[in-house]
Amino acid sequence: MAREARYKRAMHARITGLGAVTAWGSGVEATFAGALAGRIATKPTEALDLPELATMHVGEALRATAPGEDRAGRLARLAVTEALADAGWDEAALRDPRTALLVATTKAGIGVGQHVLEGRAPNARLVDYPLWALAAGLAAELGMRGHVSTLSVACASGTAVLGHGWRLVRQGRADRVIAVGVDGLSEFIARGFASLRATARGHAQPFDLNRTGLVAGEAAGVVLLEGGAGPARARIVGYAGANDAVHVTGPAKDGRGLIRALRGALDQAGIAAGDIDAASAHGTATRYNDQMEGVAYRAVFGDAGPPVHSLKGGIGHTMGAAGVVEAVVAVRGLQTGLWAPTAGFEEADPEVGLDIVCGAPRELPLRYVVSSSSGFSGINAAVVLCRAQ
Amino acid sequence: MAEARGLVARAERLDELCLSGLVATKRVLDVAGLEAATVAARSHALIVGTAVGCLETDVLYYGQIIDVGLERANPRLFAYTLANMVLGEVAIANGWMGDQLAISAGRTSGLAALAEGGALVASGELDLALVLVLDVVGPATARAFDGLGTTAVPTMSAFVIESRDAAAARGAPALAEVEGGCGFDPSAEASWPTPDLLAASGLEQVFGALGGTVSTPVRVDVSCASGHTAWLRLSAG
Repeated sequence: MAREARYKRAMHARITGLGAVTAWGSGVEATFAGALAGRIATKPTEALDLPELATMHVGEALRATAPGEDRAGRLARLAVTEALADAGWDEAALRDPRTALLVATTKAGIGVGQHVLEGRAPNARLVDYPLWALAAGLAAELGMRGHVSTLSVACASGTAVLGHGWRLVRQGRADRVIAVGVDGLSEFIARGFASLRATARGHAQPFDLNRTGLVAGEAAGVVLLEGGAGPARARIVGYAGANDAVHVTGPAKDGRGLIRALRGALDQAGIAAGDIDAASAHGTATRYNDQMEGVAYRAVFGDAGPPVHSLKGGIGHTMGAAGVVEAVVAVRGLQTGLWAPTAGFEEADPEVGLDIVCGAPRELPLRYVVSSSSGFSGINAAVVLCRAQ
Repeated sequence: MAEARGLVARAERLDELCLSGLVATKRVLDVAGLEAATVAARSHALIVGTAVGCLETDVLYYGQIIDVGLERANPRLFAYTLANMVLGEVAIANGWMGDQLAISAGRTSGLAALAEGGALVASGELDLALVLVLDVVGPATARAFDGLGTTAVPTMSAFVIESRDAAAARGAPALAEVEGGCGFDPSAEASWPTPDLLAASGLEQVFGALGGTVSTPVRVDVSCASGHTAWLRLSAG
């Protein structure tokens, strides 16, 4: 089929399979149940060697791993296996050159690299360190022959990989896409977050007046995408990314990049701001991020905007996995009409000014929802999901 | 890097990957006859392809953690362990608010980034993609590749990919039209060329074709021991 014909036929991408491993549990339903319950699953580490940070909360999705084991790799394999079973893709589908694998991550492999640096793993293990190594290993195990690549735009990577997968389908470059968002915790990551002096005392409280900072987490989320017509759990109908171009580690206070990303995603979806029924915000629980999101969401959706939640109070900030895990929960929300609450949220910050879903899931007639992420380098990304029917 | 110091006041605070990106961007804008403001006003994206990414900064940062402890390690370095930070620095320096993407696919990273830029422009989603291909080879990278029995080669390359209409509107000559794609060979066996051009693999042929102005289509193929493959086809612009 000509590229133009494929492009016109596939303005959306069908979501046909889901996978997730988070601090809420292994599997999509364990994750969704944890989200609906608003359960706080972060706590002081049980798996990492962090004597100087013994009381710092983290969102561990795996129990102890062997020294030098690649936690991101194990998380990704668990989530991919679940998603492939969910969609019923067989070996022929995986070996089809028109099946793509996209892995989004910020630092997959750094746990291995760190152990080599510390002399706790041999130099030969460095083959698992590069950013692309996880995708290559997965693709080889699955016998893939199509487009395989690793994408990274800091903590917006997960949302970006959904957009990139959507682009591959709508541009006619792939018929199926395995979109993976993954990051594993390591001493490198935990110490790095701590060094930024933005970590919480205890659990994270996104959008809360009394929040004290973010909590690092780990997870893998997988969304399988297909073009053409057919059954689906939900659809991706729009995506856009934009940069603040202001500061590499602090968000633009006027929310300019996020505003641009949200409006771009709505434009690609061909819908108006008023069509959005609920939103999954980045919600890191840092004052700068949360207030920036308040500014941006109010600018795009008005003061009576859609109900908003953040999942990071429950499982921590799962970095490159966050956007995909949030999409997995959003898809289950679209299917059930239940928008999960914001774990840890108790008292609204008036400077945020958003309708934060808290306490219990909110029953909503959901058709279109938006999920957004922001990250270091000033990047922002937004994806619009639509109910399947 | 003196050239970078003239581009941003904070050059001393940036890592070498970011400095390389800033310099490569400035040079390609000059060659393309583009003002930063012109790019900012058009729909654009900034893409970087890198094979070794932030290896040097990872080692530097974690070395500080080991040597002097968490309290005295430089927190700014942690942020620069992210492969996309170079894109943020280039965006700030030029006032560019477009989408961004860092792509890493072993030795095919450069061609994969070019293929992505070409696809985004060809789809009509963007007017312009600025594609950087960057690898920094410092002591840590050199040591790692020495252990593999080869020598790693740094790269600092940049390309401007524009829609035909946009290029014509500003009177810019097109050196070539570009189309590409990625694949995977699950039976690939580990092999390390000497020297290893990393993300720049295949770019010599690309520059060769562009330098001679493309008259007949040229196809460049690159494969990596990781299994990644990528191709790029250049045809008359």
